Amino acid sequence: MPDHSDQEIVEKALGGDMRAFRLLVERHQSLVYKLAYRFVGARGDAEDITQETFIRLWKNLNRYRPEIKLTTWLYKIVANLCLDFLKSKYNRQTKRSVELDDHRGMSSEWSADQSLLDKELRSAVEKLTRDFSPKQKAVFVLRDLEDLTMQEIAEILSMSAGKVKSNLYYARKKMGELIALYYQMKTPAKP
Amino acid sequence: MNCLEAERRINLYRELTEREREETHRHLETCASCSQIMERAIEMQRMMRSQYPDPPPMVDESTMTSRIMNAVEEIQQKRSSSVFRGLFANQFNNPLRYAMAAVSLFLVVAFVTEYSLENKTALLEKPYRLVPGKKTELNSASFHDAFIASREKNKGITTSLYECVLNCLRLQDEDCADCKNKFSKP
Repeated sequence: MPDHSDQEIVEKALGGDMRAFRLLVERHQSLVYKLAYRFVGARGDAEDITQETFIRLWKNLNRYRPEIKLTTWLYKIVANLCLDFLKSKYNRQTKRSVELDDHRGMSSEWSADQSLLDKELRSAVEKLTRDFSPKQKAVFVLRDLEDLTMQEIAEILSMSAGKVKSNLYYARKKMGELIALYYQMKTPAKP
Repeated sequence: MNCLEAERRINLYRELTEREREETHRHLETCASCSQIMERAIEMQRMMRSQYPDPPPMVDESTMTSRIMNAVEEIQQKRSSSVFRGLFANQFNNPLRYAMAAVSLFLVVAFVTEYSLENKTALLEKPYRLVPGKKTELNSASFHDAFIASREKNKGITTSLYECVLNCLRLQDEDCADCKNKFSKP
């Protein structure tokens, strides 16, 4: 069964085959978790969203349409869950503490790789994306980090192409301003 | 093209059409400040790719799979424990469910309509109740046939002393054991 296409596995799962559904989970859980993490920026929350995504997938499996890629559908579920999560946080105006613990608590191999990067800028970039509106963040993550097409993003977020563009514009503008500021601060003032 | 529009296009460079890109480049050739913005945007894209942190790995993929499957199986058990839900949630899809509901509703409406037409007032008729002391006007014509039939059927059968006396007077029966016994009681 591992060689089967997603569509074939979905059909088996629809017939009540729980092993088939388990295979879908094993195949896509990393992708779902990675996307969720990029939205919410916390490992625990990303894992909860990953679980909820597959529960929703299972509950709505009979609505699956083969003409849509399963990954696109998964992206849609994750994006909606993350948007709800971010909106509730955004509305409460709470500021989550940076989950640096997550990074520090990783294996030594992973930490060593990350330590090669400019931590200061990385932290600033991550902090800035937390100040994006939920929609700006969604568009930014899907386009600039996940490299999805504009059409896919519009479909996943149920947004018009114009709205996607306008959110993307503001997100990139903010990000550009931050990076410019960062370089200004790093460049020593000329005497 | 003015600088404001050029700045908007620079931030959406990847999303521009070929023609829009050419127009933007023509503006950049003549505008130093927009060229600087463009350079910064290219740098930003490069930085974003390299500096945006990769997600830390999950706790453990097999643990996550088990967690998801346990949650799903729990829901499955809850569903199958309810016969109704088992029938209507698992075996039928939504359109079929709606169709069955529509057919059921139609049958109920058809039954009520049919019954009402056949027994015009049967469903709406209020039961008659005799309330002592309340002045009522009866349409005796409605009860006449039933009363006559009942009287013929119960002829000679007395159920109360009053009816027994009336009957005995009508039949001129002076030796009725029932009346005499009852009157002779102290």
